[in-house]
Amino acid sequence: MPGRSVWLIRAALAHLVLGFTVGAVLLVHKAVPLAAGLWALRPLHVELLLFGFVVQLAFGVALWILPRRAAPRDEHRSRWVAGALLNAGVWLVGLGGALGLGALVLAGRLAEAGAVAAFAGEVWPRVRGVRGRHDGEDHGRAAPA
Amino acid sequence: MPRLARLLIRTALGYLAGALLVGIALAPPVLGRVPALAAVGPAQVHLLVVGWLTQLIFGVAYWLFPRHAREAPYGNPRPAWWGFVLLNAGLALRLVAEPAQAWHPAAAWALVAAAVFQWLGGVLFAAYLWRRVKVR
Repeated sequence: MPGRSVWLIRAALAHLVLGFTVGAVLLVHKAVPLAAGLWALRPLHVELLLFGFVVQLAFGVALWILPRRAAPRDEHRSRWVAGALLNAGVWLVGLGGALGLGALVLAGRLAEAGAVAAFAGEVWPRVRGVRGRHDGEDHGRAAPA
Repeated sequence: MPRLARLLIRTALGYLAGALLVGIALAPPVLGRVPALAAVGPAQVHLLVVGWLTQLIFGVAYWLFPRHAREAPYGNPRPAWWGFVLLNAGLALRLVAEPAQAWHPAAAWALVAAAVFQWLGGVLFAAYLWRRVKVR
């Protein structure tokens, strides 16, 4: 598993724990009211889990598992842009939503869109069939280490 | 595919089917006749995103992530098993306790237990997977 995937997947797991923590607090609050205004954390809960966990995990696993180009693994610094933008976006949107700051939410969504564009630009050429084989014939190939 | 991965993926499929059935119950023609069903709405979303999506991810990750070591491919699976049990106990409890809270105030404590179980389940599974994510 390349270093970038390790970072992305571990960041996804960290976001999972944070998202579950906020969710647990909100569920307890639903049963036993804890503090006024706690529901404002709901956008943060959603953002941490949907983009921080699910999308980030998908990025990490895709970079690991999609067919690689002939060139060796590229760990150039610019390749970390997608992950950095995604994490910045998650927190900007989550905190902007919680604090009611629309400008932060907008900045966060732009960062997330940039992350997706950077990620898609990188994996697009890696999504391909194996020469000489029809689609679906390479099922069951072992995952790369 | 290891036993826990099979269990996780099959349970996830069960939650997907369950969430779709609850979705039918929440459709306007049904909900119009039984308005009390609206209380299940938030739980239905969680059946999909926790019971189905998160659990499917856990199952595939348990199976697919780099092996811990040749002699013990899945390392110490105990936290993952506990994660599976607690996550599902919490989710099932939530499904019952959230609407029940409207009729029995004591159900609030079951909802607190559901929150704690789900949180512990998620944390245990994340902690387990953390060690399987490594550079090779």
